[in-house]
Amino acid sequence: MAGLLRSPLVVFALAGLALFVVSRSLDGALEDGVTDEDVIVVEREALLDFVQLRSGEADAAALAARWDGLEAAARQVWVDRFVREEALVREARRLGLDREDDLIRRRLVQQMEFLVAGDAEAPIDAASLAAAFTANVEDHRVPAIVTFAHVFVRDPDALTKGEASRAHARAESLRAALNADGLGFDEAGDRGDRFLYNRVYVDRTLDEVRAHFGPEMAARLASISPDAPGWQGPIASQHGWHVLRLRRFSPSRLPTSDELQPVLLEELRRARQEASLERGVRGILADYSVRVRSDVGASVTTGPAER
Amino acid sequence: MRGTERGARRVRKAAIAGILLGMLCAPTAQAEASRQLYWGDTHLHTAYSFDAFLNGNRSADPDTAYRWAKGLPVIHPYHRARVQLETPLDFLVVADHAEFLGIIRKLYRGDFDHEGETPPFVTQLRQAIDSGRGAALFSGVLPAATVEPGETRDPVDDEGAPNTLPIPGDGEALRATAWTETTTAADRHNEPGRFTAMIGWEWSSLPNGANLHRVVMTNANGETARTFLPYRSTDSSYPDDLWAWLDETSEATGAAFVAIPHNPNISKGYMFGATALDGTPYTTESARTRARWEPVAEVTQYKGDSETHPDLSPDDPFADFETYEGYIQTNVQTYKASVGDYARSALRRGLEIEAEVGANPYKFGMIGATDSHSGLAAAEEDNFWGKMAVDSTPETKDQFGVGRVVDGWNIGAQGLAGVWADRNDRDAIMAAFRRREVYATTGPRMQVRFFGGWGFSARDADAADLAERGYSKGVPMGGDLSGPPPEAGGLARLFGAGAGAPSFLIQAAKDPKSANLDRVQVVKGWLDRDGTSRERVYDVAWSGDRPPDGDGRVGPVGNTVDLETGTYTNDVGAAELVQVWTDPDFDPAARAFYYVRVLEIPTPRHSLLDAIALQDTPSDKQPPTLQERAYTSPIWYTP
Repeated sequence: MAGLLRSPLVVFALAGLALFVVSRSLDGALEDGVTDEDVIVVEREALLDFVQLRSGEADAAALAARWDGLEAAARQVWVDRFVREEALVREARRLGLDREDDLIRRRLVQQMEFLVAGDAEAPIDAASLAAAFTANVEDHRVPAIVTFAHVFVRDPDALTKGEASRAHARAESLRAALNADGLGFDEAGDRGDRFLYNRVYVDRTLDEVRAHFGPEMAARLASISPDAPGWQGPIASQHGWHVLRLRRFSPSRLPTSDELQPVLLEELRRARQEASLERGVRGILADYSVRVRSDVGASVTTGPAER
Repeated sequence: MRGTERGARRVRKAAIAGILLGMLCAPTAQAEASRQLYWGDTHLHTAYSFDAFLNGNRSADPDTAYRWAKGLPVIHPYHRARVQLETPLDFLVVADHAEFLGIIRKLYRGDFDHEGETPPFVTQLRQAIDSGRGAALFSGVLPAATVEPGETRDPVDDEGAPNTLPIPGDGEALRATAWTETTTAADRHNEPGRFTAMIGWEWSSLPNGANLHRVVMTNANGETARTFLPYRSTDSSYPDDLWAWLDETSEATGAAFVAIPHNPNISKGYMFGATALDGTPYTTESARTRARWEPVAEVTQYKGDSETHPDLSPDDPFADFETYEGYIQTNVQTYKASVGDYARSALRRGLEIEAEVGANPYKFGMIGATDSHSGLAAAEEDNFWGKMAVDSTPETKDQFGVGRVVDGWNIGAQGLAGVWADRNDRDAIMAAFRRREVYATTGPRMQVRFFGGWGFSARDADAADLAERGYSKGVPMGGDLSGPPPEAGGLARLFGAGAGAPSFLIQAAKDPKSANLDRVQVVKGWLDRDGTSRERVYDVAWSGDRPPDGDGRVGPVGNTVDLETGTYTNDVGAAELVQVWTDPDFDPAARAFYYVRVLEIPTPRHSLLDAIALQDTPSDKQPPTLQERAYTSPIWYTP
C-alpha cells in the first residue's frame, strides 16, 4: 500500500481528486447564497490604479515598476487598503449613501450634461446662419470710424462763451487762411496751438473722438460730409476751437454676412451645444412624472420635450 | 572782412543744408507724426491655461477674451455675472501657457480619446476641481526651491520641481487641437484696422522658483502658426534655447517673433543676470541675440511692478509701487530684490555689459500687461476682476495663493501697452514692438510722447506740430542718440539748441476718462568713468505752483481720495504736462539711457473699493490709494 502511495501516478490522481472536491465545495458555497457582489477580486490593474490615485504618483509606468520591487508585506498593506475601501464603498452603495452626497450628485450631473450635450459639430446650414445673422447682427454693429486732421486754437471757454471771443475770430481767420493757401490734410501741422492729444486721427472710433474732444465734436464730425471742400469749422470743444479737414468718415453700420460669418459660426456652435443639452435634459425629464408637494409652494417648469 | 564773408557763407550753407535736410526728412517725419496710439494687452490667459482652469476659470475661452477686449458683454467665469469693458482695446494677445495648453480643460470635459475606465489622473483632476481643490493640484507642479534669491548658480541644474502632469493618452494630439482652436479664434477675431488679434503663448520657465517667463508674440496668421507648436519650458528651461527655436522657426516660416520677459521682480535675480542663465559670460554675439529677440519687457502687471524696488533705488520716493514679493513655488523664502529683478537696474547693467563686450543685452523697451487668468484683460481699478477667476469677488480675494505669502489683495489691477504704430494690424504692431516705440502704463491710458535729440528748444513744446518736430529733430522712445554731440555754435546754435547736451521733448496728456497728472519725471541711468552705473530721477514738469527744493524735487500733489466712499476729484493735477528738458549733468563720454515716468494724482486702489463694498477696513497688504503711472521705453545715448 505504501508502495502504491509512492507511485507518482497515484499521487497525481489523488491530488486531482482533492482539487475536484475543493472546487465543488466552493461552487456549492456560491450556490448557497453567496453572490458575485460579495466577492472582492483584487486584480493588478485595478489595484495599481488605486495605488496611483491614493499616492498621487504621476507616472503610471514608474509606479508599476516600483510596485514590482516592493516587499510582499508592503504590497499586503495596499491590498488590505484596497479591499477595505472596496468593501466600504459597496456597503455605502447598498445603504444609498452615494445618492445623498452632494459632490457625487454634482459630478454625476456634470457627466450626464456632457453626454447629453453630445457632439454639436454637425455642419451649420445656410438657413441657420441667415437666421442667426438677422437675430444677432445688431450686437456686432461696426462703430463709426473717422480720419481727420485739425488745427487747434486754445480756449477753455469755447463751449460756454461761444463765438464772441478772440479765440473764435482767430480760428475763423485760420480756416480762411488754410483754404486760401490750399493746404491739404497733412500740410497744416504747424498752424494753430498745440493740442494735448493728436493733430491727426486715422481710422479712430467716434468713441475715442468723444473721449478726446467731448460729445459736441463727435456729433459735428458725424454731420460733415467727407466731400466737403477744404477746411471746416471752427467747431467748439471743451479745449477750444478746431478747424478740421475730414478725409474719411465711415458711419456706424451693420456688418455684412460674410464679415460676420466666422464669428456667427462659433456662436451658433455654442448655442447649439446649449440647445442640445437643453433638449436632452427635457427628453430625460419627459420620462419622469413629477409631483411637487403642496408645501413647496411652487410648481415645476419642464416644458414640452422636444425630440 | 574776408572772415565775415566766410562766416556769412557758412551760415547760408548751414541754412540751406538745414532746409534740404528738412525737405528730405519732412515727409517721413510727417508720416511718423501720424502714427496712432493703440492700446492692448499682450498677456492674457484663458481657460486653456492649466492654472487658470484649476483656479476657477472653466468657461472664459479665447473667444470670450476677444469679445471682452472688443467691448462686448461677456459672462464672468466665476461669479457668472455679465461684465464689460467700457473702452475697448485695440489689440490683444491670448498668451496661454504652452505647457499643457488646453489639455486640463479637455481632460476635465472628457474631450479626449480613451478606452475603458476613466484614467486615474482624470478622476483625480475632476475630484480636485469639483471639490474646490484645483489650486492644490496646481501647487503640485510648482517647484520646491533650493536656490535662494540672489544666488548665481544655474537654477536649472536642480529645478526642484517635476513640472509634469500624468496626461493620459496622446497629450501631443490634445495640445495640437488646442493650438488649432486658439489660433483659429485669433483669425476669427482679427479685423485689420479695427482690432488686432495677435497670436502668441507663454513660455513658462520656472527653475527653482526663479520666474523666467516670456510671452511670445508673432505677426503670423493662424495658417502659418499651425505649422508649429508653441515652444514650452518642458522643451527647455533656458531662454537661449527659446531664442534658437525662434530663430529657426522664423527662418522656416517667415513669421516674426518677439519674446517679452515678464515678472523679473520674482526671478531671484536671474531675469537680467550679469551672465547668461547657465553662468556663461555675455559675448558680443549672445548680447545681440538677446536684444534681438527681446526688444521689449513687461514691467508692470497683476503680480506687481518691476520698474524698480525701494532697496535698489533708495533715493526714489516713488519706487515702492505695487511691490510684490511672492515667489511662485511651494516653499516660502524671504524676498530679496536683486539687480537682475528690476527694469531700471537691468538697464543700468546693460550699459555695464555693453562697455565690456560691445553690445547691450538689456536694451529693451517697456510695456505693461495684465497676466489676467480670467480671460478678461481688466486693468482698471473700478472694473477689475481678479488675477484668477476665483479671486474675482471681494469675499474670495483671499482664495488665490492659499499657502503663499500673497493673495488677491496684493494683486495689482495693471497694466496695458501703449503702442505708437502706423496702422492697427499684426505687421504694424509687431514693427512698433521691434523699434520699441511702445510704453507701459499701470492701467490708465495716458498719452505720452517722448523724443530725444540735440536741437529741441522751448518753442517746440508749445508748437502745434509737436510730434512732427519730435520726429524730424530727434528720435522717439526706443531710439538711439549717438555721440559725439554736435558742437554748440554750429547748426545747433543756429537753430536754437542747447550747448552740446541732449534735450528731450515730452508731452503727457491724461487719460480722458481717468485722473489728472501729478508730474513728469525723467529717469536717467549712466555709466561713470570707473565703469559703475548710476541713476537719478529728475522732476521735469508738474502741475500747479509747487516750487522744487534744492535738489530739484517737488512735493506731493495732494490726495483727494475719500477713504469712506472711494471717490476722488480732479481738483489737483493737470490734464497735460509738456516740457523740453535738457540734461544738466550730461557727460558726452558716458553711456546713458533716459526714460520718462508719468505719475497720476492719487486714486483709489481696487482693494479700497472692495473693502468699502464689504464695509470692512482696507487690507494692509497694499496702500488704499495709488499713483498710477506710465513708463516710456528709453532713449539710449552711446558716445
